[in-house]
Amino acid sequence: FKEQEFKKCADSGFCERLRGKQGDSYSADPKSIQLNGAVVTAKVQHDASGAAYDLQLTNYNGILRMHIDEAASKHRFQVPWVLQSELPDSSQAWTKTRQSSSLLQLQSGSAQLTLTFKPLRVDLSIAGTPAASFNARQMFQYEYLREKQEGDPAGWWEETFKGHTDSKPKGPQAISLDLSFPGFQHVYGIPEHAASFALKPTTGEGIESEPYRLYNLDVFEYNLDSTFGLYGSIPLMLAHKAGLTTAAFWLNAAEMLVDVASDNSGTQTQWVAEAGVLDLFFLLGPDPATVLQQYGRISGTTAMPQMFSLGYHQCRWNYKDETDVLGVNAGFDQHDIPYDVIWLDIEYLDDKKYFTWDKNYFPTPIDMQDKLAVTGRKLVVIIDPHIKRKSDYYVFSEGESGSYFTKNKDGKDYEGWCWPGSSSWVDCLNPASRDWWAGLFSLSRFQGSTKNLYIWNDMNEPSVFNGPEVTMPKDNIHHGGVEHREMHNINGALFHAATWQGLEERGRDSYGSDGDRPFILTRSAFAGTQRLGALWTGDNKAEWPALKFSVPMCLSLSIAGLPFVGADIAGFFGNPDAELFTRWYQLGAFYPFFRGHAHLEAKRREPWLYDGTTTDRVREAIRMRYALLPYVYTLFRLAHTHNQPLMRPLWYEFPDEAETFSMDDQFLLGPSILVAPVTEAGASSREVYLPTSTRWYNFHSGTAMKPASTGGLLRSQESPKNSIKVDMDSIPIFLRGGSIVPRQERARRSSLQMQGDPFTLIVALNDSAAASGALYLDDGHSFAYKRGVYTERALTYADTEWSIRLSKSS
Amino acid sequence: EPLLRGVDPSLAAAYVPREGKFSCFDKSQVISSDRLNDDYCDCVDGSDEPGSSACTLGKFYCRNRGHASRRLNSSMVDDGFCDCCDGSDEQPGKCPNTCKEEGAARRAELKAQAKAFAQGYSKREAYVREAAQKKAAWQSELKGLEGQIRLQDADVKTLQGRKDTAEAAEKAERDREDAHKAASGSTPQEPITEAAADVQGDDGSSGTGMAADSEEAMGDDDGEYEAMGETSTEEEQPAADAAEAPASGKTEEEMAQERMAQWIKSDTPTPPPPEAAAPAPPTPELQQLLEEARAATRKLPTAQQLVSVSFQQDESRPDAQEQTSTEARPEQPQASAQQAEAEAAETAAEASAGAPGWFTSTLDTLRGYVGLAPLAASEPGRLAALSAAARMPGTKLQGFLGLDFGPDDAWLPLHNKCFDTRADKYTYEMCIFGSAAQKDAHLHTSLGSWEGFKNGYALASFTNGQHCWQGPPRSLQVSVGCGSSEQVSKVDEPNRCEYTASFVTPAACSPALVERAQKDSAAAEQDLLGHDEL
Repeated sequence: FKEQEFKKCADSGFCERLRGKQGDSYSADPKSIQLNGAVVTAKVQHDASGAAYDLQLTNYNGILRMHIDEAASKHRFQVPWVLQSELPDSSQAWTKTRQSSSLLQLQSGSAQLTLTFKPLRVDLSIAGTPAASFNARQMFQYEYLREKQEGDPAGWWEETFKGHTDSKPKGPQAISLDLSFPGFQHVYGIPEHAASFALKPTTGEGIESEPYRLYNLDVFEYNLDSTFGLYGSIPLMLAHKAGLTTAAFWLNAAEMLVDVASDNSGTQTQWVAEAGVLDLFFLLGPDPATVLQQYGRISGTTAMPQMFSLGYHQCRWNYKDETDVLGVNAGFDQHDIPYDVIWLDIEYLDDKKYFTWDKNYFPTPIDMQDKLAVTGRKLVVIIDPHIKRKSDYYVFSEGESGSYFTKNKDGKDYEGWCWPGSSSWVDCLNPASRDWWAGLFSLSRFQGSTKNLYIWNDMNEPSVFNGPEVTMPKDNIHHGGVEHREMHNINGALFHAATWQGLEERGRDSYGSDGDRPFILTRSAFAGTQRLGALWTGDNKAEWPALKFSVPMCLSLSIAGLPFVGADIAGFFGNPDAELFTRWYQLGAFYPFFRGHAHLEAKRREPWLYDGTTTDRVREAIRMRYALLPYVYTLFRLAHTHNQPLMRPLWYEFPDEAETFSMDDQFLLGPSILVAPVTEAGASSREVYLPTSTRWYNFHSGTAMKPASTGGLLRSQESPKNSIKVDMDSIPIFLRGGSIVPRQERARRSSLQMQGDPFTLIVALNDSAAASGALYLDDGHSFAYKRGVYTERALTYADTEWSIRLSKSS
Repeated sequence: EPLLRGVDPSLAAAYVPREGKFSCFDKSQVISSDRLNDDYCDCVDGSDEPGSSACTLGKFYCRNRGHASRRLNSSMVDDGFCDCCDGSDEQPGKCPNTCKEEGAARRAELKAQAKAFAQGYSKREAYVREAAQKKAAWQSELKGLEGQIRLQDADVKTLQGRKDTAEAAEKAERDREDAHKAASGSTPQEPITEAAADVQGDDGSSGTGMAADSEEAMGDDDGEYEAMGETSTEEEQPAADAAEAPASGKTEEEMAQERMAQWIKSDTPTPPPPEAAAPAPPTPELQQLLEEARAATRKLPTAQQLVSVSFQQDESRPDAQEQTSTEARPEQPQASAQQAEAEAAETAAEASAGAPGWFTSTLDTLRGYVGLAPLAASEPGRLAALSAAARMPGTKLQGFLGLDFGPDDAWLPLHNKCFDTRADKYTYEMCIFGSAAQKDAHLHTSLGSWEGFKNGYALASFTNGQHCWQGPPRSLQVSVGCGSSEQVSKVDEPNRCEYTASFVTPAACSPALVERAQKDSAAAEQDLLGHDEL
């Protein structure tokens, strides 16, 4: 990690201008207020300068959208692609409860909104409890677009960092706002950071920290416990307390910085974005599941993944040739370890030109994929957005002649450096670029590909080795004259979306109208990425702290609506010892995305390359994942239909148990399985918190645990220290009383072979000797479920009947 | 009565129902016999389901008539993939029976192996005889050399005397000159001898050559990082980029390379100095310099050259000259140039095997040289080196005799022999007791020098080869087997810079191996007859 290569707040003009600043007065003109069904409009002005803005407050039934923009003629960038077209259908008329010369009060269901005119302020309460306030601290500032003038402050029209000059042709255009969550001591979300799950304060008495940064960056050996911005950005923050969960989402793709402060009155936050508009959504809750559903209505729910993609993925940089790939494939059979996907990193390519193969090492890629396919295995290859500038490379020449590349500030194709050397970048803000890019994935165009090949999008922040902060200059120009500055954080998602479109089209070509669900792993993400697939947490280290931080990182992403996540097992950089390797698989089996990956210089570490006992333990961990596939798949169905995350903090299921609010060293997979990973070397026990409101069973043995009446900490007879003994064979896992977990217990080569296997239902009774669960099944790969080709069953058990009832879900 | 599906015939008795019951092998349960192979797992050990995939711990037996029987994990039963050549692991009609062909092929393979092992072993006996003769010859040669060394030591002593005399004379001359200069008031100057200037010029220019070469080498790691390679070769930096070069003075490309290098750096604690770390084809200039150095050396070896010769390291290189010319070394450029010369000297030494003739001429040269008193005085270590040079052939033979040539010295005839194989775009060469290398038309990359046998002669180890770019030194681990003649195969690089290969040789054959191969072959033939029906 080279800290000096990256900006701190003081290195950015907009952050320096706006962070922590308050006092500018903005007001709504009372005469301009109009209420029209679900929409309130008003004129807002900056009192000192007279700059004018349009305010719009829209009620989407549980979601309040607050939109403030300059006049449309200013063409400030509005983020496309994220918002779901169905959202307006849910708009609902406000009921006006009060209007005076100083405020307007509106009601919708249990939510009450108060718009104060001067200074401009919005307060929200749910069922009489204050939930959130906008501009309570008067940090709202909206830098209006203006003409350059003599004597403008330095840094308005140009700034330089580490020799890179940002020409800033539009001048200052940042927006700051403050959001207060009265009575809330805990806020979460705004990934991606290698930070604790409950967001630590960045300002306040005695606290000196950089703000949480949302700026997608490729960070080599990133630091842990840091507010530093990583590969993805989702500007969604949740606030939770006993009895109420709420959230705010700012749809803005520019660099954003968020400060968190906390005191007895609650949590106060300040958000500063470098460009764009204010497009803020309040998610009114009132509980965690409802907040996630509300967010799903805004930005969409997770794609229904293919069954194979929930199995185990074996990756390294690099499996070097076809013999290597097939040898590893055979190794899994030989060691009786199931797996579904083998991956190829950048070395498979001819000269790092995407859509090609290095013929020395991969002379017959189609044969290789066919050989993998006979046992149901898939191949994933990496395809990145940087295109080698070489005139005889068809992707480059098509991109150049079609003008599909991002432009530099002078309007020429931008050239930067990445793996292939001098490269240009596909501009996925351009619909024509996306269509062109998608077409490159057809079987006829992508030579050497088969329908069993899926894709990995890396470096899509984008990573530019010689660019400012290892990314693109902010004054680069995208389709429609949009500055890179305005759209940077959505760049990776749009590239991911174009790739998705390509595989979706390929699927229809290969399989007919029901198609084939794309599988694409991405490193960069934005709001909406969940609709496209999986994300991993980037280049982590094979060290214990990285194992530990993988849980809060994945929880933050999950709670921000991106559930298909996982960390590289057992750490990308370095060589894990057998203990760390084992512990990482034991946790990784519960990551929604389950992949082993290693750096080019790391030693080989296929699961059988350690000692026999380690192989046995890793096999056991992977088999447990496979046995749970019916449960995991059913959870994905819930994620797809109701936007419910797979990895859940304990408070998601037990929202009133305050002890869990800052807990991130254990989590739930779905509603029923509590996972307590072992993240320290040599551990012989670990503390496990078992929520008190239900009973728990040891997942491995089925033994019922007895929570103490005085609190959640387990005081079992096993150990006097409120702790669970651990050995190397497994990590502590508990099954929630009252749940039914469907499993398929037959060990198989891959998920394909499990299709006809019988199900085993694990029934864990609650205090009333009842239990329930669900099972969702479909063909596991196509979109036929969209036309109702699936089976969904509610499983219930009640002791009065001594039978399990399989009922069709409502 | 036909056996239950998947039952190992040797366990058939346990599956005969006793009063309609079956007892799990682990005694965990007794179940009704009709629950055998009912596709539901009753016994924890899987013994009730030999013919289904119901039990995780189950084993499925396939007879594979015409080929060898096999035990599968139950996970592979009825999974739609044919594992047994007789197809019995899948439902009838799903899989073709391929046992006849596969069995025949396997039997032929085993037969060929048994034959090869037998041939190899008989060849080994010849190796052992050859080894004994060669070893005896080395020993007697060594003895002869010891006498010669005594004579040469006497020579050295004489020369030392002459040198001392010359030095004394020269000192007197210098004192006289100094006194004269002091008297005339001119600035005192170091006397520059012809030889000193010569040496300096030589080293200086060689050093420059190496540095230039290393610069180029930075960008090229035998094609593994092609982007890096292009960095140095393409040089297509547009002028606009240069204008935008950051304040640090680095070009955009340099920054890009640095950033990229982060991802592929090594964690070895002590990386070699960068100018020596990378391999590179020699530039024409360097070639030229080395040629000149070699030519000069043949004419006039210096004492330093002789001192720096290391027999252990260089003895068995069949092509020391070529290697020297193409390999970047961890030493300083100057040292490399010297070593180049030294190796050239040694090549000359080898050319006159045993070499009393060479030594005589060397001594003659040096005698004449020492006669030039000022030169001798400027090279105080030269005489000691001369003494060491005299011991060279003996030291070399002692080195040979100290090697582990395996049981019965059977590997000795392979001493200095090289074998190669092609894999991907490279040729891999392995010289037994010498060194190993990866080659193509332009590059010669050392994979290491002979370290010795490991694991009871099952592995031959070459270590401390050329460093990977920012990485560890390369190494090669060769698994050794019996064969009728020498052959290298299966070169692989499972971890970066860690190569593996297989090598078969008669030297590794043994009666036990021959016997086992014959048994395996006979058992396969026997299996075909189907004697196992109980």
